[in-house]
Amino acid sequence: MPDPKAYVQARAQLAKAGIEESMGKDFLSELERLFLISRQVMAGKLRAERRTKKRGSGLEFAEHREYNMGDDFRHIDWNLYGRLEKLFVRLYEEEEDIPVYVMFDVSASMLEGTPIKAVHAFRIASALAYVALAHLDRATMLPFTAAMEQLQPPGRGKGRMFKMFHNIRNARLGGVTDLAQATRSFVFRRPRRGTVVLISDFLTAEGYEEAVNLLRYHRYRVIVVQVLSPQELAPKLTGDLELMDVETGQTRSITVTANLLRAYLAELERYTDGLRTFCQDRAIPYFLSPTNQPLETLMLEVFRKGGFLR
Amino acid sequence: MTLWGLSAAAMAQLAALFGGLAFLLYLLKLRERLVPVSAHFLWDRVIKAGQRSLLARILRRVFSFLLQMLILGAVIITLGDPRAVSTADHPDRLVLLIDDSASMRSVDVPRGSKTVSRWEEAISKARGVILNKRDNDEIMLVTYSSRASSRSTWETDTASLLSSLDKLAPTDMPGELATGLAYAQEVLSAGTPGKVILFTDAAGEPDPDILWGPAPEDCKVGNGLDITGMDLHRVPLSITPQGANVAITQLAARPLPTDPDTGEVLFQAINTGDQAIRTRVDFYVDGNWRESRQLDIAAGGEKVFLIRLPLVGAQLEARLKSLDSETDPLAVDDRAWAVLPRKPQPRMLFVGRENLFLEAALLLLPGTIRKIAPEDYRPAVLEHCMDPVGDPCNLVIFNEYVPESVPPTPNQIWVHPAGDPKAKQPFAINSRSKENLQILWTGGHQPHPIMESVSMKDVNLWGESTAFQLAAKDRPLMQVDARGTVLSLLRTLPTGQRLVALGFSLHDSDFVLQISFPVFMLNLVNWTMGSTPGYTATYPTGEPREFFMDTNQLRYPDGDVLPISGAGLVLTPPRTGVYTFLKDGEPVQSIAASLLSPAESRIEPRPLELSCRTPPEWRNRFVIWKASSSVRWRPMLALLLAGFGFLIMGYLRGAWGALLAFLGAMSLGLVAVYLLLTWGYPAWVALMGAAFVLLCVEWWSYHRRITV
Repeated sequence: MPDPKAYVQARAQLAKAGIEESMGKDFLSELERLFLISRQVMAGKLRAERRTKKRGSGLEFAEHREYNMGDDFRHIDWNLYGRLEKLFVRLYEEEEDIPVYVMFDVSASMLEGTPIKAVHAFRIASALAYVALAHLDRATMLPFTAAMEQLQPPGRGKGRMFKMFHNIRNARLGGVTDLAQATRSFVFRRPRRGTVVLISDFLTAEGYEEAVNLLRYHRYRVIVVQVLSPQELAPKLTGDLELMDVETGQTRSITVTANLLRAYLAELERYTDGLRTFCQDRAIPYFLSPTNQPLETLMLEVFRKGGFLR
Repeated sequence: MTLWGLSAAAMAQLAALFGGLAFLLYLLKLRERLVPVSAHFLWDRVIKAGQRSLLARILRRVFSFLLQMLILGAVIITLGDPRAVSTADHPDRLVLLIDDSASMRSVDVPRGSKTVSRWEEAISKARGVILNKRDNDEIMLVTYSSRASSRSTWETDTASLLSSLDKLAPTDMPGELATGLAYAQEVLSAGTPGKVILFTDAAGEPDPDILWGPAPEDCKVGNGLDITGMDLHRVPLSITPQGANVAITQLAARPLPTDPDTGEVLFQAINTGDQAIRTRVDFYVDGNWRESRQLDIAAGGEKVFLIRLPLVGAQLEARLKSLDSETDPLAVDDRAWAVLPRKPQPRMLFVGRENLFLEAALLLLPGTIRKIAPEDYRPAVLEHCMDPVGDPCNLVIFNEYVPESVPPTPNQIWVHPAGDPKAKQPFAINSRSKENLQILWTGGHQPHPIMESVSMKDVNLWGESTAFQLAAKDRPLMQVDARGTVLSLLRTLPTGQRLVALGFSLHDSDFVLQISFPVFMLNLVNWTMGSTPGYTATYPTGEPREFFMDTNQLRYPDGDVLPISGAGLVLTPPRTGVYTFLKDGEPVQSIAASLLSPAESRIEPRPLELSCRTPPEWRNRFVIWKASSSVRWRPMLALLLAGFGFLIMGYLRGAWGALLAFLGAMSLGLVAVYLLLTWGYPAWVALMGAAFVLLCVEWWSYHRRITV
């Protein structure tokens, strides 16, 4: 039986190669194309136009407030003073950019599948980050396993992509998935509130509920993307097999029959349905993306339907 | 059990080699394939719910391995060709007496969804007897129809007997059971007594499974053959009548004397069924259609008719077809053939007093004529008619001349045989007269063909005339009064030779001045030449005939050519159709053979004509055809159902499922072996069948993950 660690290392190298390949010019061209498509989707909107509850110096009128000492005279509504003989100042909505945190799982389980799930997750994360940066939002890509090794603060501008790629190159692939620990380490660093895109296979015995609830508790807008390989969605296994858990290295001897395979598929469906229902109950957009799904399809159809892109 | 193929040692070596290889592959198969997965927990949930126990998994692997071993074993034992040895202290001698007559071609034995011929049924059952014989039982194959013959020697070898059996074919001859029984009796007369096993459609009995034992004293069959003591058994044929059989029972043709290109055809057909039937008969000459006629034949009735047809050709064929049904159970009697006579050109010798009118009329006829004076006549002249090396004369005309001796061979026309009444002429003279006469009678309302278009009303005779005495088969041609004074007569000898006598002189008559005289001469010569000695339109099959011809080959109707030596040949036509004698590949003469046997065409089985002083004592059932009735269907069906049931229960979880699946496969394999063995197939076929069944089960179970 092969050494599980060696196996994971080999898969990690394979995944790295795939990620490196994705960082090439071709992928950047593809991202640019996706950006253009996203502009069509968001036509008529101003860049970085995200209305916030802050009141400030924007152009959109929000409400009136009684004049206090120190308020800017320029905002006094003289017409209202003429009618009411009281001084009121006009308040405007503050317009600001919203940080987008794209967290993607690079644990050992994400190194499985063909195409490799981690590579697919990286491509989704890159696309989302690029589109956000191109819309003058702040964005960052955060690979994680059991914890968040480092929190690269979100930046602005498309040039930020290369710095993010540089950091991902140095990230360690493999290890055990611990979604709760990873989100915990994320929120404890108190990054500015924004959108968190959580990309993982969510295949963890410990569950995903705690991680998602933690993000919601800290008022992040959460989007869940589950990445599964075709081999997991429709396994073609028969006969006597020894299944090896790539994260723990544990093995199970089983005889795969047609009945057993049907039972497994039913169980997988039950599991993904559970995740979907969990997200829907909390108004969290959820997407299941097989690794053989084209990126463009995911960006245009699934994300738009899910409300991520308008 | 003996091995006819590989020896036991060789089989063991093969088993060790391939068994070891299979075991090695089995061990390799036991190694589980490592499959990395993202997480166990989903599989764990499934495994807890539905994974089989370890024992079950081991059993299923063993089941798969055992199946493979069984298949391998079956194949290796097949190579050994095992055969059961069953010997008896008192081996039997069996004469398989198979009826190969024409009626055995009747297609009226239901077998499954189709209908086969009686012959196929008989051969199939004879095969069963051979396959069920004990090793030291001796069997001889004998076939009979109108004649009987051995088709094998006394054989103990099953394969050799089966090979001889496969070469047999039915004939087109009528069957005579007595002939077959007499032959079997003769065969069994030497050596130890034996049994006669009869396969025929000619003897039906109320109880089809009852066979006869030794016939009691003074037991006669058919034509009086005494079969007392014959240990006679009959294997019944499952004949189910398939409708009425219509058959041609007569076909003959002859050319008209006055018109050789037209012939009269005599045709007869019978209906052996119990319902009237509409049929159509078609006549073909040399394969070309000439005439058709529809016949309505009453139940058990017959139709006979004469028809005139243009017969320019060599062969006449009649084909009978039922218009009421698509098929006829016996096809061989629906066709009959006849060869048409080849009339020779006259080579005439004219001897006697000169007569320019007569000679002029003869010169108008086809053929050749030689005239010699009476003093030059010698009987030897007839041997070479036109020249010293030519063919003999076939017609001689004695005009007012009586030779010293009557020539024995050619046809003869005697015109006024004058001279001494006691001279050697072939006709007895009644009286002579010198009165003027007139011919008053030329056949009445039915004149002879010679008198066709000829009138003798105004003919005057004034010279001497002769009245003849009629012999037994003579026919008068002309008479001068109502008292029967015969002035002219016709005679046909048994050899076919024809003689005509005219009792008046053509010199002393004005007949030669009549316009009908040349016509009379034409008719006269045509009739006299019309007889073709030895001509037979068609021969019945199965009747031996002797032929003397200068030939060296005989071509059968199916095209086979048999070399023959010597001038004499006794031919018993076994097939219907046209046989041709050849000389160095060139046709010399053809003969036709047809069944034409009303008895053979009545195809419904009839009881054997057996007459015994004391009735035969029927024995208990003596089953020779073991294979057909020895399959125990109930346990067989139970085993079959159990096999399928066990296989289906192989879906059960746990060790029981595996065990039941294996039992199911074993049951089906056993069913295959048992059925094939009891159906008479050799052991190797049964083993291959079992291997095939097991292979199918292995394939089926593998694809359903019962075996792994």
